[in-house]
Amino acid sequence: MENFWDFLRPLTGIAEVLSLPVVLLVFIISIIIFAIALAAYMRKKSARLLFVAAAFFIFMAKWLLQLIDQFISPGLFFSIPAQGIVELIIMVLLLLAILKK
Amino acid sequence: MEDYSGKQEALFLDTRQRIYNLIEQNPGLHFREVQRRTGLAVGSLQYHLGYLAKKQIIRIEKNGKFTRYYSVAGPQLGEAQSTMSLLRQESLRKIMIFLLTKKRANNTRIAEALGLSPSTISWHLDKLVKAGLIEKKRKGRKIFYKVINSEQVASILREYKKSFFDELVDNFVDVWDNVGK
Repeated sequence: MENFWDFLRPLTGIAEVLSLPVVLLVFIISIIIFAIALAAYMRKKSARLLFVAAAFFIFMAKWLLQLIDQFISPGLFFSIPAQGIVELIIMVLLLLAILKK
Repeated sequence: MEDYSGKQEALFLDTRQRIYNLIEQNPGLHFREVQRRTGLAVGSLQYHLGYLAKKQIIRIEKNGKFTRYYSVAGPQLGEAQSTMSLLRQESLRKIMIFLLTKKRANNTRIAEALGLSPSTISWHLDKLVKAGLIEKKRKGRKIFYKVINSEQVASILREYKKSFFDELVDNFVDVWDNVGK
């Protein structure tokens, strides 16, 4: 088990180095997907697509906060527990979209 | 005058007006797309489309396995209609865009640029040559392809750019429509 974490440790180091570009890229992609989701809802006006668009909106907002957080107070403004709550909301919205008939 | 009042009568129903508006704004849509966007039942949509075609308010064009719909009063595209119909297919569109950016290219170069197999590219190029959109010229042992009327193709791509974003949205709607089924 210890060897497994030893294997993962260098990957964590690489991820730390690439942190800012990754956050920026994820934010840009989330904007694109939210725009598509919003256009899809505007076209079809279905509740399912509303939930999906809302989920991607919150996802985009979350990554915007993470991007700002990178510059202002890394890890102090948008804490892991706070992120957990946001992710819970996103998951609930996606689940509602899946269950909606 | 007679035609105008005939059209008014034909589009009296909200449903038909909706179908007509959709086709006018998105020329070249095929049946399945019209059905998805209007949310109408297949039988009902077939009836209304048949009615509109009979009244010569829309035109039906069969292209391979797809039947596409165009408004008669919409922009008179002529050849551009069939060009647009072809350019709705992603691979063909990518090939045309690639050829527009190069003076000419051969099968190998196009295949490398687009990440498709040479045989697939060859099949698509034959389609484009038959449609009169590109021409092929032999130079030595190689065959090169070139867009015949770059301005017209570029103008169609520009004018209907919105429709390609619509395809992205359509794909997104498709994905979520099929979830939970």
